[in-house]
Amino acid sequence: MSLSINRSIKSPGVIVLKIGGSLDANTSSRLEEEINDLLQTSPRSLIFDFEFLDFISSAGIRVILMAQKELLKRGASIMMVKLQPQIQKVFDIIKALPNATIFRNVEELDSYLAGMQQKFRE
Amino acid sequence: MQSYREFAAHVENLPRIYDFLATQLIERELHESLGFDLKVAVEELFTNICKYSSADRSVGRISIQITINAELVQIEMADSGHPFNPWESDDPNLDIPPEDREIGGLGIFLVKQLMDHVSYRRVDNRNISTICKNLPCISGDKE
Repeated sequence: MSLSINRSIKSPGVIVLKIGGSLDANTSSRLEEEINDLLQTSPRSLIFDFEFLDFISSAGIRVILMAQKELLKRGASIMMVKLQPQIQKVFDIIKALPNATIFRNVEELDSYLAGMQQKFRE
Repeated sequence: MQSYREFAAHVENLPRIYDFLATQLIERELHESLGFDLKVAVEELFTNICKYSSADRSVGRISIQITINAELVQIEMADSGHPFNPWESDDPNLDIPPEDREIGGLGIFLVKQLMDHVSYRRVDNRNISTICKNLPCISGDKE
C-alpha cells in the first residue's frame, strides 16, 4: 500500500491535502516535499483530510508536526478532518494534537471555516 | 506457528514486511486493531534498525521471525551489526508542545506503548530485538 496525496484549494488561501494509504518511513518524504512546496504559496490554512489514511507511523507524524510548526510560525492554521480511530490513537499516544483543530467530518469543518471567513471580513 | 523471512535493511522493504506480517495474522484471523498495533511496532523497529545500519554499515540484512500461539504474537528482528539496543533511548518529553519537541525517540516510545513486552539480547554477535503482544483470551465465546 502506497501513499496518495491530493491537493486542492477549498477557498483562497485554504488548502486541502487528502492523504490516503500508508504514511510511514518509506513514504513520508513525499508528503514532506508536497508540504514544502505548498508553503511557498503562503496558505492561510492547511486542512489534512485523513479519511483514506489507513496507516501512520512516527515518521508520518513527524511530517505533520513539521507542517504544524511551519504554519504556526507563519501565523497560519492547521486542521485535520476524519481521523480513523487507529490513526487518532497513534496521535493521542504521543500527544501530537494539542495545537491542531480536529473535525469529525466535513460539515463541522465547513461551519468552522464559515465562522473564520466571517471574522476575516469583519 | 512460526514464520521466518529475511529482508535487506532498507525502508523500501516496508511494504513487503507489511505483507509478510498481514499474511501471518490473517491466517489466525486476529482482530484488526491488534494487527494495526503490530504493524506500527514492526515499522518502527525495522526503520530504527535500518537507520542504525545506514550509519553503521554493518547490518546488511534483517531477519524477521513471527511466532503466533494461543497467548501471544511475538516478532523477533535479528541482524549481525554492531551491538545496538533500540529500547535504550530516553522517552520523549510529552509535556513540551509537539512542534517544539525533539523529533527523535517518538517511534520507540510508541512501540513501548503499543506492545505488552519488548526486549533485546545479544547472541553470537547478533542483535535480537523482540516485540510481544498478548492475545485476548479465547474461551470459545465471542463477545
